[in-house]
Amino acid sequence: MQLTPDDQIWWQYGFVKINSTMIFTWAVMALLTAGAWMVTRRLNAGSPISRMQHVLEVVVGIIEKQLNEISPRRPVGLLPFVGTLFLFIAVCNTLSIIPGFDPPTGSLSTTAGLSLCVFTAVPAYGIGAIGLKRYARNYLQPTPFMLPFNILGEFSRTLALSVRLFGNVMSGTMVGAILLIIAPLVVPLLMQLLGLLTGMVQAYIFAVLAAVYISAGMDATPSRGE
Amino acid sequence: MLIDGFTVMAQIINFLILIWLMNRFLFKPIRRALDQREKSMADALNRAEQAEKQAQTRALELEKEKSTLENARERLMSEAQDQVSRWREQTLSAIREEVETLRQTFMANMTRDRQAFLEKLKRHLVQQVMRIGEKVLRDLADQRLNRQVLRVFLERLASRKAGLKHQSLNREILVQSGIPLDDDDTRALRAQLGQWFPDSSGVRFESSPDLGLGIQLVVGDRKAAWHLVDYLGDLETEIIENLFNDPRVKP
Repeated sequence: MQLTPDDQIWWQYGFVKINSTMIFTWAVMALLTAGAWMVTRRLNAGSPISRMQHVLEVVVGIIEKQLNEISPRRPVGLLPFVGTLFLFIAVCNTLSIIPGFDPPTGSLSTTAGLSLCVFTAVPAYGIGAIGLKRYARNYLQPTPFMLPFNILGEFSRTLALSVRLFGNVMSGTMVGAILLIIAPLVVPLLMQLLGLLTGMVQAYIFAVLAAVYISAGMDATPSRGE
Repeated sequence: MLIDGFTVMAQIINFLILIWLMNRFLFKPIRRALDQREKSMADALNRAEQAEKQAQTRALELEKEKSTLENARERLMSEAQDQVSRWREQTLSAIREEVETLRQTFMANMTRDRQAFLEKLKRHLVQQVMRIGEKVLRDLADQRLNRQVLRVFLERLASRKAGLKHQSLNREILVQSGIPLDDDDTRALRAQLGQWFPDSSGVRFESSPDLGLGIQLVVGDRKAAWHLVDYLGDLETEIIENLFNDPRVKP
């Protein structure tokens, strides 16, 4: 039994290889891009608007609302980053109900890559918003003795992000496969429905946590002179 | 191995590419459309607010105009009522004056008519009384009354004999009598005339029933007479004058 689609390799040359994770990722990317292009090529700023445009506007509006609630000083570029995170994870988890589709989020490599992106984005947005010095001072709070723990906390939460998503998706897929063997009639269907809900919740959690980490990185600790 | 370094790198690159693609084909266009819609809605709201403000301003202006018109109407109504009141008072006063004038004219006419009627009635009464008296005297006339008439005639003639005397020179004196004269009366009258008018050529007696209870003397172109009709006429005139001059019988 494969725990991750990384193990299914389609082409390899040295350390360069193409596995199912990449292929399904490209598929999701193509699906998202094509869907967005199909809808947005005929955008109507007035009324009436198409149903799909309305759906996308609602999705984007909800993401913006969430970001505004989490980070009132929302920097430019946060919406594409967090929004893409949410949409990618949500679509991957949703498509997991299709037989034969291995969600890329069920690969620890994918979730680790996404977590590394968040790990990189937090200091990038923080330094961009409050400057390097004030951002670095956050690691000395509340006392300089907390510096190792703060650094460790950065890594641990990144690890937690990746493992939480991977664990939930992988476990859902594995439980579904096992239930399909044990009780193939109705229970797998219910588990798939539960997996859909879990997948959407995990996408929401991942995106919200990323936004929270980035927003927290932009909060400057008041200096002694301030 | 659950994690593969190459796959991690590839997924990071894939994710960055996906961010760019989503930003290019989803977020920017949707964001632009939302912004345009919000802008158009804001513009529409602004226009609506402007229109509402204009409508409120216009409503205030109309309210002011209405108030002005209401005040003007009230002022005009007040003026019209004052004018009507003044006209009514003037008209009533004129009508009262006219009615008073008509009433006074009517009263004056009525008084004049009543006075005229009363005068006419008095005259008629006096005339009737005189006629009745004349008739009674005629019917009751006798020799003694005739002689009394003759005596009164001679008394009147005595007072006028001077004016008749020079007319009687060589002329005949004509005595016309409406009452029968007997011989004694004739003789006495002839003697008295001969005494008063000695230069006359004579005295002639003539019966004249038209004179009624009366006697008349004609000398030339002069006359001297007394008869009951004239006497009663004088008496009637005197009675009427006294009657109308008496303040107690004024109407």
